[in-house]
Amino acid sequence: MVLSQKVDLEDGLLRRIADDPEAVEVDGDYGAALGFLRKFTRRAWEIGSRDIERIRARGIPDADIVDWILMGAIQTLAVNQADGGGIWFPEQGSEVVGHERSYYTSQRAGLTASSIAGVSDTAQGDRIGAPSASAASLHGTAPQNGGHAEGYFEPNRTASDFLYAAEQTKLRYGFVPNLLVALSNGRSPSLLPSMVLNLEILESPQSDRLTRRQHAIVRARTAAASRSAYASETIRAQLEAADEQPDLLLAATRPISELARDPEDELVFSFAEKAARNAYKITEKDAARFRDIGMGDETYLDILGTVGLQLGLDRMAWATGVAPEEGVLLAKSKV
Amino acid sequence: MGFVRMIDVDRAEGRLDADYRRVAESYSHGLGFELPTPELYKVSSLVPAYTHAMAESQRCLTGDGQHYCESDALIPRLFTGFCVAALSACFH
Repeated sequence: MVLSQKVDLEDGLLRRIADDPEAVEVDGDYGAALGFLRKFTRRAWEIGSRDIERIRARGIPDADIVDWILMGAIQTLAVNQADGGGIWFPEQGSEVVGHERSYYTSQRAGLTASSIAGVSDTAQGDRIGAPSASAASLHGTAPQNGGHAEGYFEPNRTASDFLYAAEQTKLRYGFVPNLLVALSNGRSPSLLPSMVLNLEILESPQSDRLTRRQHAIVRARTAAASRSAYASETIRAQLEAADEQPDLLLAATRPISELARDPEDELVFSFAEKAARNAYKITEKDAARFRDIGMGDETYLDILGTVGLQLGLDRMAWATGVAPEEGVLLAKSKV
Repeated sequence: MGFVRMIDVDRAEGRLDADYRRVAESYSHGLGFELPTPELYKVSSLVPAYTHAMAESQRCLTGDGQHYCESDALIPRLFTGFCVAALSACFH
């Protein structure tokens, strides 16, 4: 409802996008944005400097592209919360998008989020969809599409919000994360301090029952779904701190049945996999399983939040072209 | 409603209560009419760190609703959010 009131777009454009966001053809700047967001949302690892150049060639400033990236990450968490929370859109919402939740089960909806094109859920099993690509990424040997420390966008190191956020991260980690620098030139530098908050939340479980080992493995497997090495050093350090052999690849690519030490692990890892790859498939039964096993809603929500923030982080890293972080994004006291 | 237990506005305390209030005020101020705290912000209320993360994003993005409508970026932002949701098959 809000969108239809506020957005002055050609008649029916939003409906056409909602009907088939992957295939609909849209002209102009909105078409350029949609093309970029298709990759951002479903296969961020394919974003490269040529994608950015193509958008720039249309006269769209970097500040706008960076804004898309930040908004995309915020929406990634919102989608994750909506799907995992079972929040149903209000009646007026259906007037805008023309769908009911049953859309989720349609064939075309099968390829979303971080799911792998052409690989069915059955074929994926409890392994990641494309082990070789993910493995290369997680090793940290594969650059983020040729990215470098500062990424594709000229940083704005004088923006006051950036300076504030940079100071916070320097105090906390001893360095300023590449991603923060890469996003400093956006229209919304005020979002950078909230990004620092998100990094802080990802440092440890936010609920009592989720163990540090489970939390680290959830992050590792989410990064594998995103094929991103951006936070691999951090996750490796978290695995080590949890007394786990700090082999990120094993944690990210081993079948869940081999990784799980008990039924709780099995549930945590399999739910994280679903939330990372196909959040739209989450049902009430997923939440009920956590209650049945005695882990409660809090653990379920903690996994959901961890996955949402990690996915957003990984997508931003791919979209900005920054190199994986060499430092560890954990408060000095936790390292 | 919803898959998990949520803390409603009248039972929220401390930081959660503050986050709920700020989000509702931000949307209400920005849109020009009274809105309750959207359900989306209540999903993680049992683990309020995530509610806080979302509330902070909203607060930073809109300056607590002060520049919600004035910003040239509003339409592209709404469009971006819409596309990411549609591409995720999520129609919240």
